[in-house]
Amino acid sequence: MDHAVVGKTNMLSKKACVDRVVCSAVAVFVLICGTQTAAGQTASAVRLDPGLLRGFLRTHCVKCHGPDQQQGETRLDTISFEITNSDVALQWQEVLDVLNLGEMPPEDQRQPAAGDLTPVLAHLTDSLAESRQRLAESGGDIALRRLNSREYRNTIDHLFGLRVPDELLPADDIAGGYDTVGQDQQFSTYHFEDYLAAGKTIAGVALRWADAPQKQAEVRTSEPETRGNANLKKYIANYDRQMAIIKDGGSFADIGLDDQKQLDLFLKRYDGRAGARQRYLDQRYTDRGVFLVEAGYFRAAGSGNIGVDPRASWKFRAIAGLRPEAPELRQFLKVSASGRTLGWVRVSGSLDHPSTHEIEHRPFLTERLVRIDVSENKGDIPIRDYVKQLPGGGVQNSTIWVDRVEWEGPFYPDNRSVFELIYRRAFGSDGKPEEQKNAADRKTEDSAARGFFVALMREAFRGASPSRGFTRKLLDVYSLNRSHGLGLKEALELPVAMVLSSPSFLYLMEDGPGSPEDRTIDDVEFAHRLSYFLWSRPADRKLLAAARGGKLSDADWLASQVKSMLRDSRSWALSEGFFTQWVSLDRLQNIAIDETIHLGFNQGVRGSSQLEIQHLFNTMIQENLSLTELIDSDFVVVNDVLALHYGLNLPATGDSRFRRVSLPRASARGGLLGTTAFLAMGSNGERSSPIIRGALLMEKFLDRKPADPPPNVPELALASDEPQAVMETIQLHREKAQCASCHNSFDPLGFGLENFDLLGQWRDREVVGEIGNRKRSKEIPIRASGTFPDRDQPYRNLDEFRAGLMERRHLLLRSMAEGLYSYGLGRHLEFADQQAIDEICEAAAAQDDRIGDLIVAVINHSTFRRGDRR
Amino acid sequence: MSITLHNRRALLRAGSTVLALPFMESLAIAKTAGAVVPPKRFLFIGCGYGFTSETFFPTRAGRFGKIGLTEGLKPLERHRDDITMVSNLTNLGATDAHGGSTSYLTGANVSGTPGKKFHNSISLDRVIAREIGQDTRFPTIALTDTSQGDGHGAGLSLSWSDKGHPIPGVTNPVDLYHQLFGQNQESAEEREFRLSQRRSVLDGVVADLQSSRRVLSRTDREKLEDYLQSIRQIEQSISREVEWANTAKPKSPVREPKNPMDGLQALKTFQRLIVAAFQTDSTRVVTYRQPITPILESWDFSLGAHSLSHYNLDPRRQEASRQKDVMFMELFADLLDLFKQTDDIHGQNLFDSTLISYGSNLRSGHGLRGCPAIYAGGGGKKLRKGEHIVLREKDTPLANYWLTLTQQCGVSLDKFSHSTGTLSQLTTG
Repeated sequence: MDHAVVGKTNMLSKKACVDRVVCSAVAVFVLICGTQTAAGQTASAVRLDPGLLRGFLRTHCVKCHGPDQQQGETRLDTISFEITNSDVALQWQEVLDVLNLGEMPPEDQRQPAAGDLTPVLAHLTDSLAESRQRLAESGGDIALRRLNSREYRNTIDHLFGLRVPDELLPADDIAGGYDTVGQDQQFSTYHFEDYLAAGKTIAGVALRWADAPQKQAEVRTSEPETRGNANLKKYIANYDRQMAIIKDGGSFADIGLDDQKQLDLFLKRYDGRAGARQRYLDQRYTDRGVFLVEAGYFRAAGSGNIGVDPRASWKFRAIAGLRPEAPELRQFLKVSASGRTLGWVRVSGSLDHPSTHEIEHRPFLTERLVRIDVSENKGDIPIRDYVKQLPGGGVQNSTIWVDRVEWEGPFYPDNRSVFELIYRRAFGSDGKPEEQKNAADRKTEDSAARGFFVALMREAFRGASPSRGFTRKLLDVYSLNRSHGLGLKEALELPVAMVLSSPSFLYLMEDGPGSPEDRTIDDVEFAHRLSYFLWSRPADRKLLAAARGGKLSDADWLASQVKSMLRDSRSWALSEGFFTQWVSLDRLQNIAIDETIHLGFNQGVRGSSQLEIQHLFNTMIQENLSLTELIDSDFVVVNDVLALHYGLNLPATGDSRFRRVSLPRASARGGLLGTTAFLAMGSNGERSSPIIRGALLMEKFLDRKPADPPPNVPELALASDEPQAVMETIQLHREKAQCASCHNSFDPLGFGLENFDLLGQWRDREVVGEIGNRKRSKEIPIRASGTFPDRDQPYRNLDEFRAGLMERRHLLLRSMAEGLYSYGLGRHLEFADQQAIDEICEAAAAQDDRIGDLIVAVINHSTFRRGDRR
Repeated sequence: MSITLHNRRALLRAGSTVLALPFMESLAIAKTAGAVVPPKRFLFIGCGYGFTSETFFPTRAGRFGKIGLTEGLKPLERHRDDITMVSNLTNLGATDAHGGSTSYLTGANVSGTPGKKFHNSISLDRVIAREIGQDTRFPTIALTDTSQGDGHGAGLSLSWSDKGHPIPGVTNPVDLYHQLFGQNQESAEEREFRLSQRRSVLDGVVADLQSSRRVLSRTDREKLEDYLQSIRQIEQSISREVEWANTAKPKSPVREPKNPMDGLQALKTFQRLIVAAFQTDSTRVVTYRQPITPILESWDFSLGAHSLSHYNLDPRRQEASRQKDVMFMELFADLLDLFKQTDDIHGQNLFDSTLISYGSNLRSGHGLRGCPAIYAGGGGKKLRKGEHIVLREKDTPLANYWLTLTQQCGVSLDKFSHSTGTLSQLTTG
């Protein structure tokens, strides 16, 4: 039974009904009926199929759990087939659990045939999942939601023009929905402590720079060999000096050693230490640059500490060349700033004609000094393990030579931050030192404090007026600080932090309804909702002005406004926030891929693959492309790292940027299906997993989330001395009713992607068994064939698989619409929302399922303007 | 034949009301002047993913001296007369096959509570601390791993607040050292200024809430209640800070640890500091959500905790999983040694005065039934020692186990979470 279809039967639009998925594996029908509760709230019950269940219960259960006996205090002949409340749900859950565990019927009783059991398990699993969701519904109320970390960061950027690192903030919550869903958010003391501490840090930095003059940008250069070579030479000279003493007949004591043994070692090591250094220095090019290699004398080349202005950004350049023999995988530099990776660049120059690689960095507000380094990109394993599997020589043999590094900055944004303007308006911009201020200066400052706080709060509270009570408390703290002799900025710091830890800032508050009938939010609130949806930040001046001018009620104006917001670079927040969650990209972090075996999965590929997912979606947003591009596209959005990983044979761009690249006609790559991150998520870290891929595909592309695996079902013992193909091991799933009830539907989907290995690379054959052990492994051809469960429709290869998904594009549309709706509104999807989803899908389908039009349809829908019940 | 249905229903019926049960009434705090009664202490270690089914869990009941220790338990040989393993326990309500710790100490019905996607309730350590944590500087201390995918599930430590919110744990031994033993350099005046600033901050943000012009809906008000509650709790912690302000922290019995540490060093340091915290009577209740993957890394295992938990996939994995069990039990045996070698400030042996509990609500692989439960120490005089006890009923609620241990160690508690009674099989006479 299709999860998505459960509960929607009577709501499906005509179009959807025609080509709706009808699951033939398990023909079960779940009907929905709405029951009015006393509160007037529609709680919809999930109705079970009595035809299917009654006979099963009668045959296998009622003898012991019926009118005559109620073993275990359980009676099943009177059980309700309508799940109206949690008691009924729990009774059925118990039935499902004991069946799943094989505990019932007891061993000495007749056991149900697999053919009878499977549909019962499938029906109960689906219905109970549906009822769990149904019973948790809130009637469309949006629980007050707190800024999640992305929104907090972007809001601070909007107000202060500062970049907040995530570690300054409390971690987002854990309940599994979108991070915008207030219902799942918790708040406890540590949240407050973290917010207050973050507020102090932000306030401190913002105040320190609020009246600081901007500096002229300038270029600085560092020649990494200057100090490094001097150190090498010093080392050699020192060794030579000690050797000379020994040669002149000195003893071990003369060179500070303890005994003859140490001296023997000292002599023996001369060549490996001083000699090797000298040989390094004797190479050409070492007088003008450094050869990088992890185990060598230069692991990294860098800028040294650069004093930075947190309001600005810097450009960093590495000028580097390759040794002629450098294998492709070892041509990449990792660029990092104070230990955080900024990106990867492919070096294309030679030793005589090095290439220049530029990367931009905007420092975090917590960084006063930034150190930018380049080092070789490699797997997260020791270099010796890495290089032994690659051509290009031994441990010490570097492939990349860095001539010099340069950095240029600061580059300031066009406008001063909101905070800077408020501060300068209140306290001026002369930046007079505290010790030069007199009593009159302080008095002027004190009298300006109220205006400063009020102006700041208006911005921070998204237009809401601050209360008098709170303003007074801010002034109290300010005065307390002043009375303890603190200077202006010191005294302002804590009150500003209070603003940033107050409910009015942290929560996206909307006024409750004016009357029980009217649930519409006002235009300014709507503008912020819109802006947090698309940009994860408050509405900007232009949008607020339009809201106040009543323009947001004009559907056409709104549509073009939304489209232009999507084309703005700030819509990256949707790719970063919404899409990664829709894809469940966090699963990738839990996949431990053994990099000693899978060399291709180096740090650059791992990091880039996560970015690729976001860039793909961002490209779709920017170009308003159809969702079907997720199934198949004639382009990819890659950086140089992935271009090589995918074997695209493209010239290096030399920078770290992602760009849209057209694929050759015959290429199998393209879409979300062809991305490394999606394919690696569908692996167990050792080999591709059609099971996980099938479950992901079913959830994302067929809008049907498989139920969580029931706990306690013993794991299949797959251990076998014979190397087996994945397909054979999975066959076991289908033999056991408890597994088959769910796995029948999605396992056969996962095979469609079998031509992509766990790293997302194409293969026609696969090695099974113990990789690296020839005796215990064998090579077999890939079979990428399976069936779509809904119509038992077979596919024979990736192309047919993609075509099958295309035929079901309405399910992808629905899956995406539901995701956007939940993310944008900040609440879980409820039964009563099905009609809204139908309408949104219909509107988007009329526009070829284009993502921008889908988003417009979500925002234009009346529920997007609806607030809570009173 | 199973009786799960009955137990389970008992829990589920109790549902979310478990939260509201008035623990406090039965916990009338007896703050005896002078504290003549030697203190009892509790240490709860949560180990995330469980153990290798075939080689860790004993099958026969009886004294270890007679039935011997399994391969996995072998490192505890020198403690075999002081440890007890209990079989047939299940943490009802736990459904997450990757979550060995989320409701381990709470017993809450995490995903099946009506009206909620996620639900948790107060953890046992917090309940115990209400009674025995009042005389120490720290009522309880929560320590935790930071790794992902070690089978602990949602949460920030084993501890959950009275509202079921996750409580963050200390992750770095150096931080713990400073909390326990770092001497405060602040003068009385500086402290007074800092605390008055702090009070004003709290008053301030509450003022924002109370005098807001906003007309809020019911659901919004409920959310803001969480905010208010946390502010009230911070206010209480300020009062506590004032109370302890003039008492100097004890001198540390161990040397100050230094960063960086690898996973194994951090775990060993935490073990020493736990003992030091009890030794100096800085706290009487500690929880530790123990890491796995960082320790495996220290041991040069190439697979992480989750991969090892699927040990049936491949004989090499099973071998590694068995090895992992043994090595973790060696660490546990070392911890028991430390307890035995140490006396507290009252001259009482730490092992004899502490209940040490080790376990998870995951058994092995991803099974939640028959979870591993080991206890040791002399916290409860009547608790049976040195044997493997097989409870008569399969899926006996883990909450019953917690209730029994807690009561036997002198904490007056007559119900905990979904408990349905105590376990007479654990006690003598």
